[in-house]
Amino acid sequence: MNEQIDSRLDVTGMCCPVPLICLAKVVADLKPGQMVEITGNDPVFESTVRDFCQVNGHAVAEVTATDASCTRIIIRIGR
Amino acid sequence: MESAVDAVAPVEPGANAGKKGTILLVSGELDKAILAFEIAAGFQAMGMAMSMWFVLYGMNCVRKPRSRFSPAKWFGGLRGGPGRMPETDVTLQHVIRGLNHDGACNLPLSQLNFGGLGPAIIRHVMRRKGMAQLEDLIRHASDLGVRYTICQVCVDALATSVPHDLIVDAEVKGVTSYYLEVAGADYNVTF
Repeated sequence: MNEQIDSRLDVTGMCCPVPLICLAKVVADLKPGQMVEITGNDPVFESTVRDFCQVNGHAVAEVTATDASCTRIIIRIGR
Repeated sequence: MESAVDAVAPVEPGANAGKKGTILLVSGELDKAILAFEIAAGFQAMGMAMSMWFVLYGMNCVRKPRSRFSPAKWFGGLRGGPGRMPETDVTLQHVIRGLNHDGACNLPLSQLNFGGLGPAIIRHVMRRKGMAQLEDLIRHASDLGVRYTICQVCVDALATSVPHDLIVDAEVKGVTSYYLEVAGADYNVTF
């Protein structure tokens, strides 16, 4: 993934629905085409981010498991 | 978990654009208030315009926490405000106001309250698990733009002075406004 990340968000240690709320706040300030990276370890973190992207028209560009419990997801803002 | 998520019917992008939801909070208990604000903040973050209505003790969670010894707790209701009719007030209203559990930090649990020990245990567990406390959820919901409305009858009956007694910006409205909101919403729930 060589594309530039416009915003980074670490929600490690936070539980549902705080990662979703933090992501929505960050995404609200971004323009279409920009990239945001979010890292978290909530058990439903990946499905939360995927659902958020699906409903709001964003694209999940990359999902990486950084360690046993932590996941890093890169999102391309759609609208 | 993945299979459960995959089994859900696909949602069109932008499906929540223009969708509305209402939450009616009647209960003044911590567990129900947490759930109400989790849904409000979560749904608002997903793109649905959420509106929260507070009636009776439901408004305790958005009241300013005040000490039992604070004059504002006992006599703040005399200040008046939108929805109040101070000329019909009785002294007992101010006694009830003084004995009420004001503030998100003072709410009891609906079960296993143990005289106030239950909420402290639940808060400890939530802190340990990284879960948001009720105060944080209220702040997140306000930041995301959830709208708050309080029933006029309850404002008057519980001698609530808006906005001086509240930690959020709320409107005072009646049942017709609630009807219009509910009739125009896609999701309505009561706690």
